Order: sequence, then C-alpha cells, then structure tokens
Amino acid sequence: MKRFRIIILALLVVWLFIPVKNTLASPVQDQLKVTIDNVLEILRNQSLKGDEKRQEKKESLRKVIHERFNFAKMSQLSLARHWKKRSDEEKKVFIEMFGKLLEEIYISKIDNYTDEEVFYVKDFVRGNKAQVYTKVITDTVEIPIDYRMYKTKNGKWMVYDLVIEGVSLVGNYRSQFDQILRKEPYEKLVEDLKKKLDN
Amino acid sequence: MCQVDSINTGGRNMKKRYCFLIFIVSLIAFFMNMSAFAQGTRDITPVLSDDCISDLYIFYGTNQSDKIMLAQNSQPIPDEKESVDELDADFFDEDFDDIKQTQQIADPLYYFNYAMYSFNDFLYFAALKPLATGYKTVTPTALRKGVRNFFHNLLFPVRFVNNLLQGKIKEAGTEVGIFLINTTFGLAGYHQVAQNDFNLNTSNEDLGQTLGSYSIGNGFYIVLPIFGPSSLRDTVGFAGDFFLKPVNYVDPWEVRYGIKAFDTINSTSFRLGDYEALKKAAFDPYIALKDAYIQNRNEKISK
Repeated sequence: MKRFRIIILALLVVWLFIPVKNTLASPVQDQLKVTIDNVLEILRNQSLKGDEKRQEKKESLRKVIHERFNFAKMSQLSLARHWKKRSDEEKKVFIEMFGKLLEEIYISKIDNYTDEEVFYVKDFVRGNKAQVYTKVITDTVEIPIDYRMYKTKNGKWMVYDLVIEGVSLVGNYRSQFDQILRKEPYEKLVEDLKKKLDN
Repeated sequence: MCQVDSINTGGRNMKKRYCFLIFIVSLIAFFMNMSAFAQGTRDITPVLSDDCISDLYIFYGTNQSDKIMLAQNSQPIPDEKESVDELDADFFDEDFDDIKQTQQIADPLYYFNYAMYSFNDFLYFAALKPLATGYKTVTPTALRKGVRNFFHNLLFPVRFVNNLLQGKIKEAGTEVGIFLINTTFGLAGYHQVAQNDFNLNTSNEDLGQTLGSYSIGNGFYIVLPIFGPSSLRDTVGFAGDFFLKPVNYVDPWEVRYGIKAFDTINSTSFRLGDYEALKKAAFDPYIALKDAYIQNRNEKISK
C-alpha cells in the first residue's frame, strides 16, 4: 500500500508541474492568424492553381481578406485631409478601387512566400489598438510584416495598416496622395488608380 | 531498478530512498516544465528584451509609463468605451505622426535628386538587374549567402564603433563576440555560426543612425548617384563610415571597386523584384521611394 501511496504522491507532484496549455496568445493574434492561415491555404490549394481557376481563387481570397481588412478605413487614412472634401459617392468609388489595389499588393507580397511559414514575433495591445509583428523567414531573407489593427464594437480586430520592413503602406500612400493632390485635381488621381488596376 | 530491491529491505532506508526519488522526479518534472514553458512562449515572447521595449516606443511614443504595458502586453485594457468605427481619423492619426514629418522633409535639390533618381533607375534596369539575375542563375544559393555573410562580417568595425557611440555597450560586446566566432569557426565570416548556433543577434548600426540617435534630423533629402536615397545627415554618416570599412583600404583602386561591385551584385541577387514591386504599387515612384527611405531610417534609429 505504501508503495502505491508514494507513487500517487509522485504522480501528483509531476501533475502539479505540468504546464497549463499555452493560453498566452492574445485574441488579436489569434484572429489575425485565422485570416493569414486561410489566405495561405487558398494560395497553396492545388485545385485552385491554373489560369482558368484564377477568378475563383481571387474571389475566395477577397472574401477572406475583406473579413479582416478594413479598406474603407485604409482609404480614409491614405487620403487623410483630402478625404473630407470628397462626396459620399466619390468616397465609395475610391474605397472600391483603392481597396482592390491594396488587396493585390498584399496578395502579391504574400504569394511569393506561400511555401514559407509566418512567425508571430510579438504583439502590443493598447486599448482598442494593437500591432502584431510577424516575420516571413525564407531560406535567404527575412521580411518583417506588421499589422496595425483596431477593435470594433463587437470585439473583432480589423487591420487598418500594414507595415512592411518598417514602411507603413498607408503612410506611404498618404505622402504620395498629398503631394499629387497639391498639384493635380482629384480626378487625375482616380484616373491613375484606374490605370493601375487595368494593368 | 535498484529501488525495487530496497523496498523489501524496509525500514528507514526505504523511506529515505523514496524521498530522494520523489525529489528527483519532481526536479525532472520541474525542468521539463521550464523548458516546455520556454518553448511555448518563444512564439509570442512575453519575456521582453530591450529591443522590444524600444519597439514599443515606436508604437506608443517615448513615454516611460508605457513600460508598465510590458507585463500585460497581451491583455487589452478595457477603458475607452467608444466604438472605433465611429471615431474619426484622430484616433488613428497618432500612428502617422512620423509620416507627417516625412512629408515635410525638405527637398531643395529636387531637380538634381530627380535626375539622380532617373539615373539610378536606368542603372538598375540596364546593368544591375541583368547582372544580378545572371549571377543568381549560375551561383548556388549557399555560395551567395556565404558571400553575403562574408561582407557582413567585414563591416564589423562600423557596427561596433557605432554601437559604442550610441552607448549600446551590451550590443557592442555582442558584436565583438559574433565577429570573433564567425571569423574563426565561421571561416572568415562565410558561415554565421554565432547567429545560427549561439543565437547572438544584433541590428545593423551606422553613423547616420548614431547621429539620428543624437536627435539630429534628416536635414534634407538627397539622392546619391549609384548609392540611392539618402539625407544630409545620412550622407555625412556615410562619409564618416567610409574610414571604418576595410574594403576602402584595399590598395589598387581597380581591385577595390571590383570587390564593391561584386558585393553589390551579390546582395542585389537576394532582393530582385523588390524595387519593381515598389514601382508597380506607387502612384509617384519618386515620392514613394523618398517616403519609404525616411520611414525605414526612422524605424532603424528608434531601435
């Protein structure tokens, strides 16, 4: 009997020290991970490869990305002080087109590294804003991609900016749009955007 | 097991042995536990290094009280009740304060800069890109990586001196360690033994960053021929670093420039397509490049 008691005691001691399943990952990181995993899954999906499936693939990617990226917010922040001067209709058109461009940029960035793993380096949360630091590590290079996110009313985290290698995408467009709109009318910018999407 | 025999001998001896056994088992469990924790947490790094602290500063600004955030970085503080959807741009604008500054970076040499930008653009597509592409196709990746590591190791004096100048004594020490290990075990820097096996890592420092850490601003924007985007401050830094680069002491100048060209082609072979992607995404590539350069430098300086 003594032997059993001692064995049970030993087991208890071991059990005490067994780590609790890692609960430290934050909700913001979890939510982002779901989206990135889905994007990678679609890109890796063999049945969606090839030209005739391109449209189908694009549609499913769009669906996943729109769940997590707020392109309206990104458009607003990119136009910054020029946003208010636009009519509701103009805003709608701009969000539609600029969103498409951002979507393409993001997909082409991540498409190069579909065979690689995305590492979640760390995340910082303050109030309703967070920044999730990720890194794509390939055989030859390391690309840090950070996601700036905010929390909506229902607790969902949405991306409002991408920081690739220390350069904020929204910030970069903000500089460009501001400089362009100083010299050119807004219509010219929309025209350029149209040309970019057609290419 | 020897314990099994001793059970039958009974008495105090047995108790002692069992106590010892329990102690050992719990010790092993404890250590396993520790390592499991270490592995489990590596992905999200709750143990924050100095680097992370300074990263935090990029995000939140340099407020000392933010350090408190470190202990609870994964727990959102439920204060602001307002919905973000209804908040206007002010809520987000603080993230782009840096960018406001970059918009204001003076460009008095615009016409010169634009000419140099066009020249560099031409040089990239006419010479560097085809050379690097050809080089990449005939050279195994392992060799290209080795060459990159070798040149990186050679720039040790630049990183070491600038770490010291920025008062980063710990990083300077790490830099020495990396240099010694990689130069000997890594065969003159060809293999990054220190980074891969000893997990030693530092960030690249240069004199431009050192000056930036002394709160010296960018000055104005300059596009250097061949070297690309720079600022007044970084050009001064670049000139200062000249003396810390061993390659610049190679005697016949033909050899010196040959080595430099090789280094450039080798490092470009890893980044083919990046410049094209930037240009493709940009509405005005000149401004896009300028802004990207300034943002990237600001980020490096704040680290």
